[in-house]
Parts: sequence; C-alpha cells; structure tokens
Amino acid sequence: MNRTLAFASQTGGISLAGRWLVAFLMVSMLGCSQQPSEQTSATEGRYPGYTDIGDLTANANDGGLFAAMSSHGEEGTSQASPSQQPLLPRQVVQVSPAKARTTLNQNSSNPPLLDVGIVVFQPLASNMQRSQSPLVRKAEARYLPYVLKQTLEQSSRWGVVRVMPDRHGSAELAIEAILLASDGEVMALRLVAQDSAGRLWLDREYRMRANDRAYEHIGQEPFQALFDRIESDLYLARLQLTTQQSKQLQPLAVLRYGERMVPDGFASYYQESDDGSYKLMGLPAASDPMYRRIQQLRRYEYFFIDTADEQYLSLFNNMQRTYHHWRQYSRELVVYMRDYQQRQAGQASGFRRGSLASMNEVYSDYEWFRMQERYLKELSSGFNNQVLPTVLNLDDQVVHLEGGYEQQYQQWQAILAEIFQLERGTSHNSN
Amino acid sequence: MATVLILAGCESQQLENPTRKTIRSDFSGSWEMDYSLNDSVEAKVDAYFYRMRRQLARQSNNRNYERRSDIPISNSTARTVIAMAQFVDRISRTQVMDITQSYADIEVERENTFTLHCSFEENGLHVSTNLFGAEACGWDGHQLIFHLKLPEGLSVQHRMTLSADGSQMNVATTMTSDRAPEPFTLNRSYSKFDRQDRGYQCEQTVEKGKVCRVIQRDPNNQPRDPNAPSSIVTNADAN
Repeated sequence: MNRTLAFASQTGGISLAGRWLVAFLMVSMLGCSQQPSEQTSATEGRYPGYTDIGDLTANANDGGLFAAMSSHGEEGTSQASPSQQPLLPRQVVQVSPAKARTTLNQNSSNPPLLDVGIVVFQPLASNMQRSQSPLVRKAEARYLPYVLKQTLEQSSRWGVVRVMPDRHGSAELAIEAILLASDGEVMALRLVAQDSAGRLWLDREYRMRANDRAYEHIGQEPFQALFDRIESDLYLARLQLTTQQSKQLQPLAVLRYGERMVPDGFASYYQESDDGSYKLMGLPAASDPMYRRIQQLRRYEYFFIDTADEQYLSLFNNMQRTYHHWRQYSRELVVYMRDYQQRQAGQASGFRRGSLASMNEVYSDYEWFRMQERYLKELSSGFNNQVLPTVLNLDDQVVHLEGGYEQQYQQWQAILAEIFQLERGTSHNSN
Repeated sequence: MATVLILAGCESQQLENPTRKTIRSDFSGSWEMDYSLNDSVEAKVDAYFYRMRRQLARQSNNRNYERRSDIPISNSTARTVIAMAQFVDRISRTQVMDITQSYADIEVERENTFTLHCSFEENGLHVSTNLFGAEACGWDGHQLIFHLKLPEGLSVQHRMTLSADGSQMNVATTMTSDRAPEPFTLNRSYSKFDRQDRGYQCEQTVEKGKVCRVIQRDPNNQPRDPNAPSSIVTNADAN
C-alpha cells in the first residue's frame, strides 16, 4: 500500500515538474520583456484551503454558487430566493435505486458539447462537527465529485469534465454541491449548476436510499442512480437552451475569464442583466493579441486543473475499495441499530423483575448499544488508517499547485494589465 | 438536568453533588486483574445476608435473626440478592483494561465489553443518555465514578481508586435493584503492567479488521540488562 502511494507520489512529482517547466516557458513567452511593476491581488480565482470546518463554512459563502443560497436552512430543504429561477424547477428529488438513467433523445441538431467543471463537494459544516469520522467526510467530498465526473463522461453528452479544487471562471458549466448526508444507507446532496452566461440550470436536493444489493460489487457505485439522475437533469436543462444560447457559452467563458485577468479589457463584449446573467454583444477579432493571450492562458489554466484532476483520480482509485467497505459496514450498522432500537426500546424484558435473566437482558441491551458505537468508531478509525495517507498526499499536491498557480496568476494579471495599458495608449495615440 | 435529578434520586447518597474536592488521579496505563486481592463473591453474599439479619434483629426487639436457620427474608428478595451477586460477578470479570487519560477526559477500554468514556466537567458529573439507559461520570475526590442507570430499577456503578504508589487500582462495582433492600458491591483489584513488551503493533482497518504486525527491534537499541557484566574496554595505547 505504502509502496503504491510512494510510487504515485513520485509519478506525480515528475509529471508536475515537467508541467511547471512548460508553464514557465509559457509565462516567459507571454511576459516578453515586460516585468511586473507590482503585485496585484487576485480578485477572484482564489483557492482557499479546505482543511478545517471554518474554511468549509467560509467557502460556502465566499462567492461560490451557494453564496446566493446562504438564506437556506442548514439542511438545505427550504427554498432560497435568488433573483434567478433555474431552468429546472427547484425540488427535492427522491431517487429510486431501480431507476436507471433516463434515456433522452439527443438533440438531432448536435449542439456543441459543453466543458463541465465540478468543484470538490463541501461536507456540511455541522456534519463535520458532529461526525466521529471527519476524515471520512473530508475524503468522500473529494471522491464523490469523481463519480459524477465519470457519470457525465459515460453519458457522452458532455465535453471535457474536470474535477477542480475551487471554482474557476473558465468552465462553461460549473457544478457545486453540498453533501448533506452520507452514512452508507442514505446519500443526500444539494447541487447547483450554473453556466458561463450566469444562467442557473439546477438548484436541487437529491436523496437516495441504498439497499444491501447496492453493495454486491465493489466497482459499482451504490448510489449510481442518484448520479445518473443528476446527469439526466443536467441534460434536460441543457436541452432548454436555444442553439444561439448554447453557442454563446464558450465565448462568454473566455471573455469572462479575460475580464478577470484584465479588468475592463473585455467588458464591452458582453452585458450583465439585473438577474446576474450575461448576454454576448460581440466578439474581439480573432487576431486581437490580448484575446489570443487570454485564450492561451485559459488553456494553461485547464492544464493546471487537469493536473489537479489527476490527483483526484489517484484518490478515487486508492480509496474506492476501502470506501465501498466502509459504506457497506456503516449501512449495516445503521440499519441494524435502528431495527434493534425499534424492537427493544421501551419494552420490558419479559422476565421477573429482579431476576438474573432480567438483569442480564437489560444490561446486554445497553452493552450491545455501546458496542455498536464502538464498532462504528473502530470502522472510522480503520478508514482513517487506510485513507489518511492518500488524502494528505492529495491535499499536499493540490495546495502545492494552488500556491504556484496563484502566484503565476497574480503575475499574469500584472503583466497583462501593463500590456493592456500600453496597447490602449498606442491605440489612442494612433487615433 | 432532568437526568441528573433522576440519577441523583435513584442513589442520592452516592451521586448527588460529590462534595469532596477533586484530585485527578492518573489512571492511564494497562491494568490486569490481581486475583489474590479480589473479593470472594460467597463471602460478600454471606456478609450481605448477615447485615440484613442484623438490621432486622434491631428492628424486631433484638430477636436473634443472626442464625442462618430462621431468616425472615422472602425467597424473592433472597433470589434477587443472589442474582445481583452473580450479575456483578459477571460484569466485573474484565481481566485486562487499557486506560487513556488526559486532563479533559478518560477512556477505559475493557476486554470483551464496551469502553467507558468520561469527559470531565469543571463541576459535577458528566451526564449522557440514550434509548437504553443513562450514564453519569466524574470525580468524587480522588475516585472516579461511572454510574449507569438502566431500566427495570437497575443501576450499576464502577468506582475506581488508585493506590498511593499508583501501581494498584481497585474497581468497586456496585449494583442496585429496586427489588433488593440494599446495594451489592464487589471489589476487583488490578495491577499495572507494561504493554510495550508485547512485540507486536496493531492497527484497525476497514477490510481486514484489526491487523497486527511484529515489531522488528533494533538489537543495538535494546535496553541494557543491569545485571549483565560490564563490557571491558581496553586502551591499546595504554599497553
């Protein structure tokens, strides 16, 4: 196990070094002879750490898709009142295990495939605080987005699907989710999807209860039906877009990304409406040097995200078996404990009060309950022992990437701002 | 708060507001039962009935109830007392305990049964409840108490006391039943031992349960036997 991890780490290191060399060359090429005069702070695109509950809570209200939903109840069942209505109505979706993916006729006009960015899920802060196994909550928040990614990829109805540590502005469709419950028996998550035009596709809560048959095969996700339903809903929302709207998503993603890099550089090409959505007004010329630079940087950003995505793939592969067993045992304990409590609670032992049999039975019930608690704790401890090295390795790699990327990002912003000023000055002079 | 009151009501003389000043003894370590110092169950039962007869004698104009032949104790009560003795004997048979203690809490891991855990409160006892019973725990002077209130008028209390030198520990397990005239207590004694010499290390896993492996000791890093002859170091230059 350790050998596998060490090997994965080494492989990641070599790969990273090579990629940073390429990145460095790209930055050198972009910067030309210009040096940044001062460091400007990134206004967006920050990747705060997510190692503790405070950060998780902060992330939920820090400019992400859930920012508009801060007025929701903690369990996410009440409806918020964001200014925009999603393409599919808000609702709590109870997914049945028997239902497979909804088969929808693909649009005959073959609309362009959209690139999707799935942000690492957020465990509910109060779950983290209550949980005896915070590492499980943390690990599954990184594991489950990969299940969704695979589901989208297998449907062949989407473009490139990436798992990313935080929301990047360049995704044509961004998906964020809060994990409300996950004990092996029930999974509940609140999912929000928004496209690069600021259009809200989905804001729904999905719930599913898995039975024991769901755990028969290790490679099979017990809650696959839930992810299939999400994919179907996303595709239903996708079908509601007109061809024109679909075609605008890719250039809007580039322009909004460009706007973040060079404030006021691309604002004239799109218009923001009152409900927070964006409308494309025009496009820069294909030969526009700043536009080309932005497209090049965006490609590099994808390069960074793909590197992070590889780390999530590694986590997915490493913890799949352990997590499967953890959920299976956790479910068995949860179901058994609930059934036992329903049978036993409040019932008299049936033996003569004060007899040895009565004492043994009453005490055995209590002992059994406490032993179950202990088994759950041991199960979590076992999960920690097996998965902790992988999660730590992932966090190290992603934090390392984030740190390097953010520094580069700030340099690019400074360089591009200078170039923009120079070019605009030249343009004004020539006019 | 209600639970505290209930618990206090069921055995007020032992749990209501421990007034002794808390002195936090350090119970941490591994403990194994010292059979030579344990109570004899038979002797405790005899003593229990003797006390009951004495009490009845006092209440009944000094009639001589101390002789075994004319016990005025109902069969039902007698059976309950015997059952309590058997029950306490059973639940206090833990041979080995591993205790982890910090300033804030203690965990008593007991072989073949559930772990006792207590988060220390600044004042009074820590109380927790579930569908099957209620627990209260905390310090009473230098003694640590775990009190368990169960349905059907039963309660069990473990009172742990550390010897002055810290090498011995007494666990007094007291059982109370609303069908018995007074509680039944059995003392078990434990000696501290060192777990370091087991030669193996265990780790919990999800797939295989507890996995243990032998610790490879570095022969150069072994503690020196104090009775071994000292090595002779000769200085070549001196010769």
